[in-house]
Amino acid sequence: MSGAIDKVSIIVSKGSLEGIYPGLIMANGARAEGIEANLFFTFFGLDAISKKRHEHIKVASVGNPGLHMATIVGALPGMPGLLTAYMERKMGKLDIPPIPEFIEMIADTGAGLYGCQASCDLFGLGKDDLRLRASSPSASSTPSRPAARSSSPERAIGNRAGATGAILAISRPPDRREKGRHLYDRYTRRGTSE
Amino acid sequence: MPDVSYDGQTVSVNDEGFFTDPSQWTEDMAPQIAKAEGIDHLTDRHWQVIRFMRQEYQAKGTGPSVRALAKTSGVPVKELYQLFPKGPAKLAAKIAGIPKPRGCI
Repeated sequence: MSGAIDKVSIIVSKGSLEGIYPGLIMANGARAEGIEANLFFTFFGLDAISKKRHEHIKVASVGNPGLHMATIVGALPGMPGLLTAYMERKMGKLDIPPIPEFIEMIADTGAGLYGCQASCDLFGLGKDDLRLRASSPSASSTPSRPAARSSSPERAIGNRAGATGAILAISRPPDRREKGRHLYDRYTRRGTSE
Repeated sequence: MPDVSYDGQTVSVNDEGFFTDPSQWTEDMAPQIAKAEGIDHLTDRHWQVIRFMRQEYQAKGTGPSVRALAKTSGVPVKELYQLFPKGPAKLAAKIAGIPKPRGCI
């Protein structure tokens, strides 16, 4: 055991700009050092890979002590948008890509991308609501690992077809299914657009 | 700071193996450094990246990070990771005889 790290798994569970970026940056950094990386999106982290929301991720302006800003100011209408625009401008100058492009880049590096099945059920999200690499017919059926070292034929097909970034859903444990069933019914009654 | 020998000449490298003096680098050393890092054969694409990294270093004083490399060298991120599996910016910098790039993106 040399002490060198071979693989990291990073969990993205928040839906705010400052909650999503660190996970992505670490995954990208790990890949740049030759370390295998897996990104797991759960709960509000699913926003980063949701077609509807991935371009509208905002900075949390209330309840965010790191902003060093009065709560009243943070609660003003339009504040999240203002702060987010400011942050995005500064990040653009440092050549930090916006979240959708960043996730594509990370997928290109060979990192694994996973979405939480339990959270998908909770929010009523299906495979169509999440980002899959465009145009490839095998995208919806192949697993997400596009790494060159993959050996099974489905992954190889996915790799050649460029279906990186396909989100693989992970099954949840059976007991939680029973407990969460009433919640599931409530949320799905509101429709999948929620 | 140890000295190693490439192509019959002695060069000084830092603890991680990066050149401390990029002007000591010659093109003939690149295949040897690459072999030591696990890349047996440098194709034209490899050379395109290596030469680009040298140019960037000479123009800007520091090597490019992965994203800058992908955007301006014309080699996309996916291909970079296929050419240099264990971290393109770092590995290509080592092979090109320039110091490790600073950024993480």
